[in-house]
Amino acid sequence: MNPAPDQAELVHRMRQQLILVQVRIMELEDARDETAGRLAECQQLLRAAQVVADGKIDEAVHLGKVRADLQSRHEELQHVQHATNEALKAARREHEAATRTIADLQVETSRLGESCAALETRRRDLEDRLREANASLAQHIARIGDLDGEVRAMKQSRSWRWTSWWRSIERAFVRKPR
Amino acid sequence: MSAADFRSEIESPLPLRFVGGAVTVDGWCLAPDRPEMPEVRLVAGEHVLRRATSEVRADVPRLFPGHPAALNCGFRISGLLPAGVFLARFEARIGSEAWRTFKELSLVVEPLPFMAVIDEPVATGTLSDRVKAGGWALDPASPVEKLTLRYGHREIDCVIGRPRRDVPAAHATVPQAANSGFETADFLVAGHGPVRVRARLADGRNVVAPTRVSFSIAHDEFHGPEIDLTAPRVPLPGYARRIPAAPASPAARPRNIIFLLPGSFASNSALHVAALANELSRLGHACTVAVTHDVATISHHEQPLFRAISQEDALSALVFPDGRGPDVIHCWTTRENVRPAAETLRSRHAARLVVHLEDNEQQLLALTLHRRAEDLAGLGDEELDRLVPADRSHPRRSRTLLAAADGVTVITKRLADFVPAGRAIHVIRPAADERYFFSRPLPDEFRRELRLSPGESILFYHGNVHEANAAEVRELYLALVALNRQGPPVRLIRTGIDTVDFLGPMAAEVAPFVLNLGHILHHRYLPPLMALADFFVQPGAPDAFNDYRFPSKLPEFFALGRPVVLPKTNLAASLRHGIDAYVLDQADAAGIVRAIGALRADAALRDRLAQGAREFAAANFSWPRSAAALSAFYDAVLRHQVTGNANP
Repeated sequence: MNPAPDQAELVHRMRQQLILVQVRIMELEDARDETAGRLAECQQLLRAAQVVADGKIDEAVHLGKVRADLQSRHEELQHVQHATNEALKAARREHEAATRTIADLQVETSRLGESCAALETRRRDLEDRLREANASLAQHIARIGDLDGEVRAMKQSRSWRWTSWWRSIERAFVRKPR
Repeated sequence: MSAADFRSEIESPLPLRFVGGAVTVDGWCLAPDRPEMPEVRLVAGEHVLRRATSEVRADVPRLFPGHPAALNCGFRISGLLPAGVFLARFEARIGSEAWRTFKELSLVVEPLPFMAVIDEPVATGTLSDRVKAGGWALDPASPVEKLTLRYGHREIDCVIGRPRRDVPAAHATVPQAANSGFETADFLVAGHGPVRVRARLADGRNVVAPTRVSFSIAHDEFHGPEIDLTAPRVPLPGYARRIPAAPASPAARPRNIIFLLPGSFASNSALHVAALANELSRLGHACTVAVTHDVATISHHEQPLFRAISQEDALSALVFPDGRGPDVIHCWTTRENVRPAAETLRSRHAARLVVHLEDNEQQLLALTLHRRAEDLAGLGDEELDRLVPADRSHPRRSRTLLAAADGVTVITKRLADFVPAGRAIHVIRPAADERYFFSRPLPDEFRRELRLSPGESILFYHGNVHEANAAEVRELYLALVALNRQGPPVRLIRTGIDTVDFLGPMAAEVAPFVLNLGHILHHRYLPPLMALADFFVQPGAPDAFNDYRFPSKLPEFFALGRPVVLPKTNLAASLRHGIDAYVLDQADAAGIVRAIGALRADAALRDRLAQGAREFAAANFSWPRSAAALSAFYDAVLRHQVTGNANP
């Protein structure tokens, strides 16, 4: 049965609105799904951020302990540094004394070096003179040898032998000077 | 004696987070080298919560055998904290020694939510009497400015500011608690459902709180007993997304692609461009779509995988994520609002230019200017420059653009008629968004709620009416009138905007048969509405307009799995009449009446065409396949390997 004209118009509009309401529901479903998704993401992010924060708090506590440990070690090291500094000062003093001794020794060594050089020069000079004296001696020895030879030759000669009696007379009458 | 060294564990779930200020933390704590039980407290800023109870621990004595405090070293700290984020320090001490922190944690206290209670005349259960109802409503952060009760389809106003003695006792720190009472301004009216209290607060927030009360008021002076307000809602089913599968084979060489769209993302062309850009992105390409105006209309597309920019931005700086410019400039049509941009971009970048044709542009221009295409072709450049609007193609400049293109894509083969010889051509087969457009059964229950007459049929047509299609849509309306005159009623559900008055005096006559829903903002909401239809009709006839176009609603018609009536033009060349669709030589009023009459009379034909539509859609319409083919075409154009028709 067809409705009356006025009612037909109302039914027509109802149909139109009923369908448009479905469109609106789809839009709202989209908005709901999108919002729910974003909300879940935000919750997840907040949770993750808090977990990170807790991690950082743990790290901060750990670093606090490390800092305290380093502080105590720092004080210990300061004491060690003081002792080391004192030892260093003493060592420096010893070092300076040793340095001075070394300088003195170096001067002495230098001086002795110069003496050694002069002695070496003197030694070489004496060696040269010794060589010259030895050479002169060798010449004299050679000359003596020559003269000895000449003496022997002369004494072995007939004239020397024939005149020997004369020299005996001479030796008998001529006295040797004292 | 040295300071105690504590061992402990916080065993409440971490991170510590509490709603409404009530904080409870469990754990244990003792000093292994000291026999005494330590005192434990929680310090949060200036607030201190102490151990509320000692808990017996069976596990700790096993860790510290013989320790006298191990058995009772468990603790529970309870108390109230204000809303905020705290650095909570858990501290312990033995005797009067100094407190020592044994654990630090973040602690979040969420504010108390808006609270509302109905306690007059009932505090729980269902109220069925037409009386006034009251209770209290309190937001700890801001006073209530306006309060309503919502139940079923009703929303009724309340009088606020009533004094309450009990609420301040429970919420002593909230100053507005003393006047948090409310009462409905009038007696309850007909409506059925759980009651929610909705308030607008002084700080501008709107808040809602559930209650433990339901109202079930059967009728009042405006609602008689003939209306059953407890009836369940009949939904229009089918608004469910299908998740598309990942592409089988990603592109071997990802490309940078920019589409120049002649309009906004709300345009029909945007449906094709967005679908292709999404699928190309799935293949690994970087896609950007530049629109001439209204970039914000990208919100019409759900989860776009491409970058949306304005044409102005594209022209000022076009850089893709890899730091390079585009490899391909895909200019969508030769229209004047995209042509200059395409030429400018091409002059700046070493990119290939591909032009897309989806209409007989010269015919469209002629229809727009109400002049013959032949006459327009004879006009001089100056006259054409003056006449051609931005959303139409210039007869000569469009040819210049096509001649300069490295490749041309067309929506239907016939458009190759306009492509200069030697250009690479590729046919892009449009499809429907598979996430939403798929075969859906008739929503019988919802159709019954529409109180359709016996034997009444529903047609569905979505799309705007403009100069180019006004005459053929008018034929559809004429057919509607004729069908309603001669037989069981036929109703047309229409969406879209009419930019021309195509009905004239006939408007009043067709009005009772048309459910005009206007513009549906999001295309994805259409399929559940389309599922209401028995048949889909694409009006028209072979002509200079239809032969060169591919109505984008056709793939959507076929995907829904209903018999499709259409004229023997464009897509119909691939269809078998009586198997895939009902193909008419001319889908004018007479033809449409004949086709609908045949379909209503023959159930077997209806079933066969519904099945045929489903099968044709599955075999021929697929954005992933179309995008993969387009990707291959881009590769070929970039390699200069294509001339002529790429997919004849």
